[in-house]
Amino acid sequence: MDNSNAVPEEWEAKLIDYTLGVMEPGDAASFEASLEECRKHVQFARQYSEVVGWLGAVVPPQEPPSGHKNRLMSRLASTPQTELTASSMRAETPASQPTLRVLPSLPAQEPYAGATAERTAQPATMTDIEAYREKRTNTGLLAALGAVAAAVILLVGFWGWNAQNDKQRAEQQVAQLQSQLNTLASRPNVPPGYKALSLPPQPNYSGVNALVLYNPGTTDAVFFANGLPQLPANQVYELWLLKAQGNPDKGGVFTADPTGSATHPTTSPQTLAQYTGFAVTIEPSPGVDVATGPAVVVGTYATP
Amino acid sequence: MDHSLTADDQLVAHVAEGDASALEALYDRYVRQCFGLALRMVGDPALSEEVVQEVFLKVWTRPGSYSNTKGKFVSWLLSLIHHRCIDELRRRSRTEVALEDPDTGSVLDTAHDPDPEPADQVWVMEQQRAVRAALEKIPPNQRQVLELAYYRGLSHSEIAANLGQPLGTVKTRIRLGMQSLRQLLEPQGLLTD
Repeated sequence: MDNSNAVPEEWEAKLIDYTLGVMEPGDAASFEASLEECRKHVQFARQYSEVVGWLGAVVPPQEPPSGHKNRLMSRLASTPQTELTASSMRAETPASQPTLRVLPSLPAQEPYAGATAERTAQPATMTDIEAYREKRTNTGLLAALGAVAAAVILLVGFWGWNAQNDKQRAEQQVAQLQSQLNTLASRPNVPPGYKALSLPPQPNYSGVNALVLYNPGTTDAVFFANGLPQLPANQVYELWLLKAQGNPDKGGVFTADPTGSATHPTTSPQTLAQYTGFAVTIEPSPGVDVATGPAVVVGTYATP
Repeated sequence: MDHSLTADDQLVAHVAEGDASALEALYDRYVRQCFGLALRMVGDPALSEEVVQEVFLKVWTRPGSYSNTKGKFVSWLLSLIHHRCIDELRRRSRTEVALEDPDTGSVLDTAHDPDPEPADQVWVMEQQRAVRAALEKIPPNQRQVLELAYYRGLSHSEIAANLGQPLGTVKTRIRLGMQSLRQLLEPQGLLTD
């Protein structure tokens, strides 16, 4: 890199192409290397990034579709904030395209303005971004909650579409589930590491979709299902915690709502790592100590 | 909490503290601009909606990725929208998924926001006017390649093929156009010193 104060014209041209996103992928990779090395023209680079941002302001505003805000705020409620301290934050980089790898983060990485020890140890590279994205997908409880919420919302939404009269109930169900998820997520002592276990339906119950959100290190789990058949008044669904040996422990009883969905939180006698899975059976009301009825769904995870 | 008079920087700081109402305020302030840009670029309302949601979720999950040393929040936000849209445009070109064609006319042919929302801040509209004026000042052939690059996400070679111009000519026009824009916007106070 030229050490003079003037910005070399060739480098400026590359910076423009890179910032604008028009650089060919192969060229972008080598230019990124020069960005890492060149620390003196950070302001210059920032200004071009700002120009790119401002170009977006020329387009006339448009009203987003109805319900857009509600959908965003709903997603927000189930999305964890991954980094909340300035020292731990680095720029987000979108981009599946090499050309765009660090564009929005160009000013944020500040490779020119004096790299911190953290940045030296963790240069903002694509590997960094992929690691971050992977970390986000494995964030644990809240990420799992988000996935579960999305799945439940989709399923409930499907019912609402199928049966117009169910729409309102479906919306109430979504709100109820969201509230429960938020409650669970807000518990201060809930550690990360929750998992979602799908419980496959048993024969004669192929229309049932079920999963359990659980943390092996705790006794807390939440069962979600839809497509559950309506039961007569003298029967209930009962959740069981399966063991490697011996009778399953009881996980409580529940009923399905008119749309066939159910949400059932449970607290197990032992930490969930001591169990091997979950099952739901149909039992006489108000429930039994040892399972007797037909299994509706059964799912297992690693044995202890 | 009423955030209507809170500055963007402060709202971002509130977001970093987990205040969803601050994010909501930023959304109310800029979603129409963000959605307008996304729709202009990708042409598909559903995809535009998703792009905008993802970007605001990104602000929520990583509020510290913005700081005022990077310039105005809205500029940074729109750059996120732009890059996310380019990702989508290139993904589309790879998979050849048929979607609606985005608007291919000059952005200057579009009208100013005919019906600004009360929530739109006056200074945002003023900044939009300033950028538009700067874009109008650069030579048409430079503006043309910039618009193809910016709003349609075309690469040098794609622009050259599109216009039937030599690759070097396209590169030169892009460079000169961006240099002019930077020089025109800096005195307007739109760029960091």
